[in-house]
Amino acid sequence: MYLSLEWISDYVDIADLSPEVVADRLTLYCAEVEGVQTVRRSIGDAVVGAVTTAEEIGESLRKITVDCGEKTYVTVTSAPNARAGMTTVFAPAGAEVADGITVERRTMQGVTSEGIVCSAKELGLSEFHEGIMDLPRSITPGTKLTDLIAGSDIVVEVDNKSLTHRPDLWGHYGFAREIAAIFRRPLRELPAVDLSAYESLPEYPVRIEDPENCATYCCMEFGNVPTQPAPMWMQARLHAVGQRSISLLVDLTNYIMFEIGQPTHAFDADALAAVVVKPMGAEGEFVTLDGEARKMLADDLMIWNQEKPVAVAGVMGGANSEVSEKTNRLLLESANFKGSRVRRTANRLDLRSEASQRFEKNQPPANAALAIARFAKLIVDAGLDPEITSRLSCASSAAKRSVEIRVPYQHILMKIGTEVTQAEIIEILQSLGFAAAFEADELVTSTPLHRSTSDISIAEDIVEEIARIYGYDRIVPALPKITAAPAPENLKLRREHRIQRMLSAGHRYLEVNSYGWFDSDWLDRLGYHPEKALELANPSASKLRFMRTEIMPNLLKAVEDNAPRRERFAMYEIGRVFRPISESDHIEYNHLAGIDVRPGKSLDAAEHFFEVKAVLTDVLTTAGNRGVVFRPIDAVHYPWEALGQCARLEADGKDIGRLGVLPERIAKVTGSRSRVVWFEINLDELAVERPEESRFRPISPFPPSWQDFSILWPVDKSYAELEALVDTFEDEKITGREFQYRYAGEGLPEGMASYTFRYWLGSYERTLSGEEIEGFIQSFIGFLAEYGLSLRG
Amino acid sequence: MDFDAVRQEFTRALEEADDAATVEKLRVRFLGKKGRLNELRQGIDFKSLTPEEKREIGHGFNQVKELITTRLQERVTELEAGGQGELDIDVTLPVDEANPGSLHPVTLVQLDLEDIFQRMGFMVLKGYEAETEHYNFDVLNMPADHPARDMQDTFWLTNGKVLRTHTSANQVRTLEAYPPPVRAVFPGKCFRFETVDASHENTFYQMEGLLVDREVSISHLIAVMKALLTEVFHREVTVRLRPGFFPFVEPGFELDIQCLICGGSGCATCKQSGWVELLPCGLVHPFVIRSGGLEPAEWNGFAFGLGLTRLAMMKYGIPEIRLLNSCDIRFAKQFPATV
Repeated sequence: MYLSLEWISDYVDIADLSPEVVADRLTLYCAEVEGVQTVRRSIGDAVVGAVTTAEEIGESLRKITVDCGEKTYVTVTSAPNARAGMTTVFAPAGAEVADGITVERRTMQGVTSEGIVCSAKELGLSEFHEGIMDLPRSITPGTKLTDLIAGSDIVVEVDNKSLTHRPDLWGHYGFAREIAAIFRRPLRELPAVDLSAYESLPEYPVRIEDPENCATYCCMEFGNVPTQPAPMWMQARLHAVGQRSISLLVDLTNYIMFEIGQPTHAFDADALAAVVVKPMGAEGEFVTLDGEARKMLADDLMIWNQEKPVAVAGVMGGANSEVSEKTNRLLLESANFKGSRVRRTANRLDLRSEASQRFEKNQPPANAALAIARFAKLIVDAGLDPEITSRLSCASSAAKRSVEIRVPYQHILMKIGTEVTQAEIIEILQSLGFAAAFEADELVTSTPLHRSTSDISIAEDIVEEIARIYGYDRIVPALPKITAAPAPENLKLRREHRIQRMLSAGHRYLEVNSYGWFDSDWLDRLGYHPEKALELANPSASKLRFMRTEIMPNLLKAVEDNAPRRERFAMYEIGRVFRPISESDHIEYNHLAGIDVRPGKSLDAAEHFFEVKAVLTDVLTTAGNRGVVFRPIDAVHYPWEALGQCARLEADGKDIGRLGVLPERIAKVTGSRSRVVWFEINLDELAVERPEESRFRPISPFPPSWQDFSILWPVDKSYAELEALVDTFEDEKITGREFQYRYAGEGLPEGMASYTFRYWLGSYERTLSGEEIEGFIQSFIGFLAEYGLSLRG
Repeated sequence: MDFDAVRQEFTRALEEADDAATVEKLRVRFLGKKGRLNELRQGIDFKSLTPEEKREIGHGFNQVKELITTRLQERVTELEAGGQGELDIDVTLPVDEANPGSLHPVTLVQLDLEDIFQRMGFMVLKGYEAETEHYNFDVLNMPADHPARDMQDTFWLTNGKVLRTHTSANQVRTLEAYPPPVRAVFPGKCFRFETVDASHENTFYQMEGLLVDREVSISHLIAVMKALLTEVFHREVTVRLRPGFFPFVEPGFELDIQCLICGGSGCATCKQSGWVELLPCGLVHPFVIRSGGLEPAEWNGFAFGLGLTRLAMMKYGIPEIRLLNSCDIRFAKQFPATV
């Protein structure tokens, strides 16, 4: 929103303040200022001129004569609105106009222009230049523009987002009030006509049938309001805040809206005998004043003339009730429509406007009558002599109450944290229009009408008003006194961070974050179709509508995306996956997924697999889990798995993850020529509890000895099976056991591989004798023999 | 016969023999006239043995002798070939420079902040990414009709939930789960329905903070934010509050820091204003306190929202937000692997 400081100055004296100071204070005390601009009006040499003749001299070119009082000039213009009988602005040759341009004599179509008729842009009023200035004919030709408006104005741009909760700040008067409070200066009253003088006139019938969506509806009838342009000063101000000048009536409604935030609408009074405010009732078409046929829904709020709708409440008037040149009397509507109702309709019709935006903020009902009183004043200021033909006619269910809020002084001090005197509190609140007094140590305040609709209702709102005008910069920072109780720790998160550090710093993995949803096109290429997934109702693209159930497809996409680099890399993501458990509920798991991508064949697939298995084992160790076992998969669940090259991780009998070599078919899909080993585990399935404390075992003073055994074991059986078997061999002399290596190849019986285990043997009482060791060896060989196993010869 | 003991003794001794002289000593110790093998042989009363036994023991001796001889020869060859000798290692050569590990820039910022907050006694909680309307909006003083819901365009799930639009969704969950006083931060992924471009993302990371205690003031909020930012930037920072509107705080603020680049005199980074908008914050709205099952007359609090994605972009000078959710190794490789 744009603020004209000239306009503000109508209500509070700021002549002695620099615009930067005003802007800075507004930012700190009120709402964020986004910029300050000086509007330099190039009007030094411009005069008011009456167009006496206009003659077509070519395609969209007119030769006109302009009576400027002492002298009459001839000029050529292409302005579509140039016509005989209008009053406009003329800048003679030699005059300086906007953008540093000097007007020159110019000959077109054989006619020499002695100057130019000016648009708002040429006068530096705004960027609008669709036509030349159109001024009331009552202004004497030859009047200098500098006698009508000031040579410059300052425009402050305020961020609309910082005004969403402040309906009162959607007009200049609200900002004038804030500036008055901030600088502790008096605020002048808004000039308005006392409408009670017209109480004896007939009442215009108004009925509200939907009080929920329309709290107040006021209107008043004005006759003798011929169509004419707005006065120069009003046009200049509207231009300064970014509004075109259309006609006096339109400009007046805009002016009032930009002054107090209250939108008004003018009907042709002949089109309405009475006003009824009620919903559309049934779906139907309605032609708005822009000529568009709009599809209305049953619950859209409309203004009705008894049997037919004449306007979309708060959004746009109808073509059937539009004010025109023929209008004798206008009916000025000033109503209070519910913000959310207006928002829904305006959004649906794509008709959000300055007016609908203001209704959305819930304007105070009291402004409805005020706007009409202000209109009655301004229309006279604009030089008209209207005939008021009705009294102020209102229907309202809004209680004209101001809210009383009581706040203990101590509560205010506790919330602010700095001593603010009672006297200053009273001064601040009163400057904002609040009634305020202390009763003993309790602040009793009542909310002014302009703040009563949405933002002030509780003690904290009052604290905010006091604190911000007191000045946040005057509050002395003090750290809170806190209880020393330690905060509960988050073991899951700590484990996650340890895994991140271990993978990134310890194993040179790159950490990435990918999106939380799948790309269905990519899943199709992978040949993966998850059974159930959370679905977005409004995805950013239709193919992105399913939330991910695993991370792996996103990482496989990364294999594709990075394939052109042909580099070796390892990458992981820790993130959420989503699994629906019912129509309305889901579970989220924290997953860890990783890929190790290696070009070339420097390593065979098994070696590569085991390198990544080592990393994953470290992850499990880091996570504090000691009970995870790797088993071969016996069925394929995901396209990125294949029998014989994929393990499932099992903890406490539960599947918690997978580790595998990417099958060639999928590798081809990714377009990568590298070998990929991948893993994905559900971190939430790992035990969260602290791992069992380790206990120290005394170190024997007697040196242990070791014995290696190479056991022959069928190649089609797994190591895990052999391990499970040798686990059952017990002997008190065993102090440790390590698997050394597997050998398969020459020198072994057909179908067998050799698995070498090293047993550490020892005692706390003595060094074991040769006999004891020999005894152990025989006993172990005997144990193996029971299972039909033997040692490698 | 205890050949195994000798063999084991030899194997162990050989492991430690890393020069020719030691290998020679081993040869003498095991194969010499007074070596271990001869010692063993002399300890046997061959006369008492049957021919069968003699043959077996003799065979054993030969095997062990052969093994020892072969291994000694192997080690000599090994030492001659790769003998360490005088070394000249260029210790400045790098290790696998092409493959650095890294943490995600958001993680780096998050770890740093979590560490600071934990030192200040805050717990760290993560919450849900798919959240109910109840926790994401209703309990935060944002009823269905509230214009504030328009401020954030939301991803809706077909099951009626939403992808959380802010980590503030954890405020009431935390108040419900932990008895006050409560100090907590909530880092995590958030989602907004936005058209993605160089500076807008539909997926980003935030860290919300909440402190609820008996008496909590604006003065406390400013002091904690100042302390936090001093830790983050490793230097004293000047902050200022100005009014800001968020339905779940009252009063609500925007906190700015004095531009660290120009010190407040105005530069391109701060758009000549001297200040950089950093985080929204405020005193917890009584509605939220009540939503959390507490009595606003007894409990007060403050809350603040840190944009982790934005902080990461500021910290590392990342000009393009989409990179953060890409899995591009050219991006990922640029960040350190430790905080």
